[in-house]
Amino acid sequence: MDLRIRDVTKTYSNGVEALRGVSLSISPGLYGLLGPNGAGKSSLMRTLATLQLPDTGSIHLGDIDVVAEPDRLRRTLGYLPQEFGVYPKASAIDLLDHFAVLKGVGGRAARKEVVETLLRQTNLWDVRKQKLGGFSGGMRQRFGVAVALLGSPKLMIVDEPTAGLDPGERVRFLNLLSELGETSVVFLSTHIVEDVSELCTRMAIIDRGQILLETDPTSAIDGLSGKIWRRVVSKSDLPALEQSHPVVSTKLLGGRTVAHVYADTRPGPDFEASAPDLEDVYFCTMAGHIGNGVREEAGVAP
Amino acid sequence: MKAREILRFNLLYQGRRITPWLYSAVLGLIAFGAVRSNFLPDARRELFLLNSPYVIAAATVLSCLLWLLLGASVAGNAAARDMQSRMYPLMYSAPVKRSEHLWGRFGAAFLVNAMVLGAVPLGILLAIYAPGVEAEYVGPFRPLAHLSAYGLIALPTAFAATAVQFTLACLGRRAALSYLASVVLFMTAYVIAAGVAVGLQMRVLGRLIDPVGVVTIIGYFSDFWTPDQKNTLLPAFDGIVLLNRAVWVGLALLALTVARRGLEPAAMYRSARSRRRAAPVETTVTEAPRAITVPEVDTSFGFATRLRQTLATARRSFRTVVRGRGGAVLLLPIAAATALYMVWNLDFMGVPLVPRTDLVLTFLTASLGDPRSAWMIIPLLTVFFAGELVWRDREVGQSAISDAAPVTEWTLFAGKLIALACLLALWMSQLAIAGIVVQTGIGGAPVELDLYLKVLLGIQLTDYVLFGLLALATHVILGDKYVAYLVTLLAYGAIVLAPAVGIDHNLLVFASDPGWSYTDMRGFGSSMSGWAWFKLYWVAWAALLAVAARILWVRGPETRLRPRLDRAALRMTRVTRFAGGGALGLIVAVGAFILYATPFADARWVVPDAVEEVVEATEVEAVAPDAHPWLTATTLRVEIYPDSREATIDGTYSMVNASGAPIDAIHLTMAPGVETLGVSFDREGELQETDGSEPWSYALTAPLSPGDSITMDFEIRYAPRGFDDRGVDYWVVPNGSYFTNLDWLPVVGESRRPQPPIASDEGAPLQQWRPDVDRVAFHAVVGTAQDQTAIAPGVLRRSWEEDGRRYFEYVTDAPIVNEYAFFSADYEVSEAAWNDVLIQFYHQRGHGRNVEGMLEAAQASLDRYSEWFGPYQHKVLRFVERPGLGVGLHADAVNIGFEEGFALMDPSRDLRGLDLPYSVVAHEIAHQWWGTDLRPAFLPGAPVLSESIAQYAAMRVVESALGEPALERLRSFMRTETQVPPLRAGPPLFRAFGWFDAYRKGPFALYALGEYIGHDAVDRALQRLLEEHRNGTPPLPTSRDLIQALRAETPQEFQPLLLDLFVGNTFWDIEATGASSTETETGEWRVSVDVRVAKVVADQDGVESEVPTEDWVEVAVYAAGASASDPPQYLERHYVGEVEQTIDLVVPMRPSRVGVDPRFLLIDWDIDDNHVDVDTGS
Repeated sequence: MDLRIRDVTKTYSNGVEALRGVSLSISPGLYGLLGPNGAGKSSLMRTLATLQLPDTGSIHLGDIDVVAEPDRLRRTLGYLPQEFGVYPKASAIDLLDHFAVLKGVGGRAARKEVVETLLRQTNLWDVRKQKLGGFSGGMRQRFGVAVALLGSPKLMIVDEPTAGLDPGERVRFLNLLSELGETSVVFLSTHIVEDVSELCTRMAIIDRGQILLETDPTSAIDGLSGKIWRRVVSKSDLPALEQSHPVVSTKLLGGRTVAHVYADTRPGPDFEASAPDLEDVYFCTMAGHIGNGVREEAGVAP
Repeated sequence: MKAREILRFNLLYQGRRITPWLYSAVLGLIAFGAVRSNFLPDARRELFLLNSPYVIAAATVLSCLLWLLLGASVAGNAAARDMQSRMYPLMYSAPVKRSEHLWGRFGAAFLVNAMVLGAVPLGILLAIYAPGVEAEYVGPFRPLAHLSAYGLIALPTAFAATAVQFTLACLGRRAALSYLASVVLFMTAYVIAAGVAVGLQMRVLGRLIDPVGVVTIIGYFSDFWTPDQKNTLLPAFDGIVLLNRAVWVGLALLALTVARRGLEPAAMYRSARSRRRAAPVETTVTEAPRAITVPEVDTSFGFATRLRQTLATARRSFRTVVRGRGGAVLLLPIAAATALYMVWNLDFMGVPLVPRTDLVLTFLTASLGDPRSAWMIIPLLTVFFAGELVWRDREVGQSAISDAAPVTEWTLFAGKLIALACLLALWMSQLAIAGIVVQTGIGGAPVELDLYLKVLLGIQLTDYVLFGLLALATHVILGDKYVAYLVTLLAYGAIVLAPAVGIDHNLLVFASDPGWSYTDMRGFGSSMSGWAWFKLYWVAWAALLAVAARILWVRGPETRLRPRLDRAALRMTRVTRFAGGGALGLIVAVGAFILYATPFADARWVVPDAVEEVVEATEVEAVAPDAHPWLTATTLRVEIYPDSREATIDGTYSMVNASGAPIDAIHLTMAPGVETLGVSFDREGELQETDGSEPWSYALTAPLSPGDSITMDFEIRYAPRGFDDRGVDYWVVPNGSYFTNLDWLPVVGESRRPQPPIASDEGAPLQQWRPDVDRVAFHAVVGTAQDQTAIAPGVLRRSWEEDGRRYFEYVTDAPIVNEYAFFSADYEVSEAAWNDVLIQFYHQRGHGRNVEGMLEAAQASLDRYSEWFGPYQHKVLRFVERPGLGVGLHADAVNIGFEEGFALMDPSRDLRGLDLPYSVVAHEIAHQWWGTDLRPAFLPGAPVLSESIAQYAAMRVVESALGEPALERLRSFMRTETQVPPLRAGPPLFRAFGWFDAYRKGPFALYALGEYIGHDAVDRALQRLLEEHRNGTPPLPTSRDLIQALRAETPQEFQPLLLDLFVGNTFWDIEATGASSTETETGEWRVSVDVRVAKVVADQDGVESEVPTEDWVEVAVYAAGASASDPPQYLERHYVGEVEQTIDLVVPMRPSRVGVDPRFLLIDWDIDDNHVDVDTGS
């Protein structure tokens, strides 16, 4: 069951073009959507989750026309939004059971079992009877995960899921997602590059409503091999370096600045070769060295 | 400084929202409308000037009252915006004092509200000075009237209301709570204050607790100010008004100190999320991370799942409103207060009523748009809860998850509707419990659970749920909570006000119906079929609204209408299209059926049953009546079919030309509610029929000469087609049919067509306008269902059964006035006799509680009246019950009809020891002489000739049959209304037409005269009057004839008193200012009494002029040691020729107390100062 997105555009009433001709084809597995804040990630996620209509374009999951038959999609959708609230005075078990009904889990016994399992899986079993109003951010996030997992979804949309999780929770959650990816389409948006590099078989980079690069992490990294060069500079030399070389990223290391530069050949004696990673892919894409956003004036063939 | 910046910022922020400007526009319109629609008609009747300070103040009050509900969001937004937008961590960590926050925010809200209310004076000015008002109704411009109304009414109201709204929203951290505060203030002003002032008779307290001025200003000044005062004085400067304003500003400041606590940061984190669990919960799991496996479950989305989802949504939503929003308990205090109110008010003028379920239910029910009912609170609360239900998910942010769940919009809408319906049903149950508690507490009537169920959870709940659906759909469709509140309130206002602006067809007013009623005797009568059809029609509309709500349901981040409309097309699924089409089809089909079934342009006869209707016109209109024959005999065959709600009447009128001129044509007016099947005469002529309300005419070939007779046969049928849009007629019902000849039978004589009469005190001919003054020999055969008794005037000659029906033949033994009624029901009868007169009491089974006492009263009355006024003209006298929870009685000749409510009176529980039914029976029987035997001309003063004399007669029967103390109780009861002195402005008694003059002042005046000149002298005068006018030939008697007759019997010395009592609107102010005594040598006591006897005459406008004191006044002296019930040792009349005078007299024993006019005979409403203790100088 593939998720096919064709030429989706969305312009908000204030003139912001959130999505500009987005087309993606996503097979079962974990798919990562990387992009800076405001790139259109959440707009795309909400559109996939049937919460808003695209201005043009089509979205299909298997034979489901997401735009025309939102309810059919919802039956097989797990959605974890970036921001959400819960009824503060309801208990976790109560509200999860409520969602189980809403998600079509019939039969009291089946519901009880799935609710219990999910609460245990998300480590909320001990606090199941407490009011959600008293939950910490991470607990609330895990509750959202439990809700998203209800009803064996074939499409999981997870919008910035790991933001509120502690490292242990993050690992467990990502493991879960990859497991889900064996049978379903899991579409994950994030601005954390590691999330994608650790998990995703496919990925896309989005900026200003456009898909700049659609690839798989390994071949993207391979594609950059021999093109990333690093140099340690002092803070005051950095502007000069940026003038003379295509700096894709800078990073502080022990009080000094390490700059990564994109070049087909070694730019100079002070530079040393650097093994590229996904972060370099991301920054090169954003800087227009590779992908659909390659700048004409850069004159560099991808 | 910081407070000022907060104020500035908030002011700008609010000013940029659209809602305050919207409120402003709506309020301006309301003020304009209030003046134009409410006060302009009265100004045109010259009750006051259109720009009188009273009108300006009253219009301001009305506008402020509605502003309370409309404008609540301003304060709520100012108080809770930071909490709801979760900005408070930023805002309240800034170095700003709490009081600066408070004053900045509150100040901004108050200023915005003051600006919003600024539209009120503008609207009023526009209403007065814009075109459309005749200049003569507008007085000189008085800026102070406008300024004081805004400054002393609008601004303090705004301050107090803003403070209360702000405080509640602040403490609850929710803007919507300000609306709840408004509902409380609204009910305080509109219901509670009036209840305290009028219901509990604590007038000053009532005027103090009214936050707006409904009671404080409108209620008080419209009742107690004369037209002249209304035009000149400024109500806003009245002492109590100023005190009231001070009280509310004080309360506001108090509320704000509480609100300040709500702004403490500690409070923010306590109750906003969870009151019970203040500290965040932390999991204590330390085990190593292990993989999560997702359980495989089967999901299904068939009908069962949809149902389960709907119920789950309903349950969750219901819990939210019941627990989180206090929905369960909100109505409890109101139900409890209603129970208390019922305990206090299940009475008629203080006489306890048996708490039968039908009566109790009248306290618990009201039609949806009844503006006089306290149950307006239910739609007002519905507005609030509908908003909470629709917006709850979004406000907590849960919609981000739940919107993506596989739940259809139908499920969500239906779930919320069910939750709201359950809440309303819960409230209805609470009201039922209040009623049941009252019933069992008082006792005496069975609890009819099924009736509670039908009325509260059937009829009432239907209306409320329909309105709830409207509110839910409005919130969904508009997509903005506060705009939706405003629109829903305006929609409710439209429901309430539609009849007042002439939109009264029930097909045009949401959820309305022609009305229904239930009484023990009649049941629902014929009211349910019309009700059901109209409800079906409105349910269809509701379904259409639901379809609109379904396709426009907000899902996802987009709340604006345009994008939702785009999506609406996608949501037009087969089911939705089917539902929408079905609803539309049902609307058209049922609407068409209703239009077919309800008669159009049904001009109902206006038969004035209240004399007050005469008030309208006092000018003489010299329209000479047409010459027409008078009725002399009526013979009828009446067939009543209670089950099919039909009736037919075959009748014959015998008529004679009693005028001095030949008659060419006979004009007939046919009653609009019945069908005329045929009319024929025994003289040749040509009949011209018309339809509608124009009279028919019969042109005689040969004119009818004076003294000649003519008979007319006619046949009419009553067979209502379906039901009526404008109310239910209960003429023929399965049990308790009741109709009169004036309702159905043809009226002879064009000028006597029933219509609002034009009254005049000049010239006699106008009396012939009424059809009921003829004297007829009456003969009728009345058939009805086998198990019922049919009753008509006259003696029952025989009764038989035929074809499964029962027949009754009635004949009168003396002519009766041409006004009589027919009754048919399954009656029980109780009987007694007085001489050869049979007294009968026909009543519904179980309604015979007071029968014995009433039969005794009837015997005593017949006994005294035949001695005082002359013989009773008939051989039978009946009291006949008819359906209705009122306590009204109507005396026709022979038969006196009474409503069921009268039979609910329980004088045994009357703590005053008063037997009101006894005196009411005596009063009604007196009408057999005064009102039927003697029929007064229908002119001002007429009620004195009927009601006042009847009540005077009843007082004397009570005195003579039950004794002096019983009369004292009755007189003291009759003085209840004067405890709060009524306006003195008004006509003198001989031109009176008001209730108070007819039933209170008139009888007191007659009684006083009787005490001065002797009651037998009064009787002689009355006898003479009766003899002269008994036969009913014109000219009919007027109050002038009464006064002439009384004058002839009044000695010279009391002639001025007679004139003061009846011809002038005279008020005495009598006071015993002091008394002293000394013992004489002979052992007697010389008493010196200082009296003050002032006298004024008031005119219609309330202008009072003093008149010289020349009165005989009773002076009483009470012996020391005598008890209160002992008669005085001295009671004599003394002449008082000056306002202040000292009267010297001698009594045999040591005096303790003196009284001036001690029996309160003269018209003086202040009776507390008539007695004074004697200063014995020792």
